[in-house]
Amino acid sequence: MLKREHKVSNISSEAIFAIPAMKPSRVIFASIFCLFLMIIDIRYESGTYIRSFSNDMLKPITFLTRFPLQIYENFNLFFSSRVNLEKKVQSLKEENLKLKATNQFMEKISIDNSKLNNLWSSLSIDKERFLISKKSFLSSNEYQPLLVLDINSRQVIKKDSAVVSEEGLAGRVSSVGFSSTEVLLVQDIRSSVPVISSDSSLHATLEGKGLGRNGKLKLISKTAKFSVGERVYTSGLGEIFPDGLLVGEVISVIDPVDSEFLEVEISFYSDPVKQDYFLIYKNE
Amino acid sequence: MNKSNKNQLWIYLSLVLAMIVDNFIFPESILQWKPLLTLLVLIYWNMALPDKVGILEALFFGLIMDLLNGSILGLHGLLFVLITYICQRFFYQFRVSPIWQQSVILFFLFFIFKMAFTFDLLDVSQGLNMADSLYLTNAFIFSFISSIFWVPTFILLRAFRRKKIII
Repeated sequence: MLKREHKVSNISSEAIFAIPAMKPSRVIFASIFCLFLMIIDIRYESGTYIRSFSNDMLKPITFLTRFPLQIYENFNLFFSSRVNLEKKVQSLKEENLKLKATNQFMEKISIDNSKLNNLWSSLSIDKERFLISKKSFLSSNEYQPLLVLDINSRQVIKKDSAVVSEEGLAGRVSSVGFSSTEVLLVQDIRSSVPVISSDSSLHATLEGKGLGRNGKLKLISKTAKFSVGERVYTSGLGEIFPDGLLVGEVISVIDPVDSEFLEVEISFYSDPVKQDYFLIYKNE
Repeated sequence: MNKSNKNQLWIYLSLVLAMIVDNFIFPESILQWKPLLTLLVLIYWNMALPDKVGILEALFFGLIMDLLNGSILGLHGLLFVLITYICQRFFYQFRVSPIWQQSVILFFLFFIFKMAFTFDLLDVSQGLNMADSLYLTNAFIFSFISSIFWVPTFILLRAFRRKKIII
């Protein structure tokens, strides 16, 4: 212990601390301020509004969070003799992503066609309505995971636009900043998605249960006949998500004795941790 | 730049660095378990130099964490402020205890911290409660890893403080 850091005892050479304790009044004031912010956020969703612009300001930090991964990728690219090939593969991947997303529609459409139901909806599917967006940041918040996507400032994206990955529905745009947009993931506990099952054609609302967890269908009557393995798609009700987007599949149907509803668990196809690119479906 | 400002800058730099590391994109399997370095660094500075770090710093970095994490605005801020107060209130006792004892204390502190996020403040999910076994397991592992990480964090920051921060 250096003498210039603290007073030092001449007997034991131990540091003598003489720092006054923190004033409780300041702690109480700060706590009240935080509680005020929390109430405002819960009541008026002020956090979402602030976050949409703070994401732009915090861009250097979110950029740095990807830095190790980027260094690793760039290092690999630098020593690779196939740089041009990589670029070509990248552009093909993007094109493939678009095609896969449209295929999700096509799969649903083939089912619809077989039932002579909802044929006209196929006419509204337009590949050009998809915007490719790169993942900027994904928070580790288990119950309310936050996905931030980079967008071009010239791109006009509206709130509540559907966000899809190559595997299925990822969520919807919850706020839009200047160069980034925030996505409310389907896994988020605040998320509710109107869905329809592929085989039984039953309508339901799918709610998220947190990142890495299965979703659950809300208030399903015990007479409903869901089968394990059948797929669920967006139903288009509520007019937030377009119909026919693949969401997930039924993995368990439990009939609890002490409840008047079935417990239907849905495994989400889209995994935001593993995906780097997403498609934003522009609402018209 | 005078000494005091320079010291303050080093402290803030270490906190920013910890925050960046906290927000690295990790695989899903370890996402819920990775230690919260920002809080570990904040606790260290509260313990080592309580006159240099206080409520304002805890509040500021807590709010930034809220913005980056997507949690309710003010929740991290509130928890950081309360932990800062606890650390400063008991830093005389905490500082002189052996490092393994400090780790044990931090284990409980981190467990309480993690459990604060189970409160269904948004009233959105009927199934969300403290008896969620998966969350409890994750919270336990998170607290354990964070307390283990206290040892290298302490040693590293102490070396950094002795080298860079001159009073």
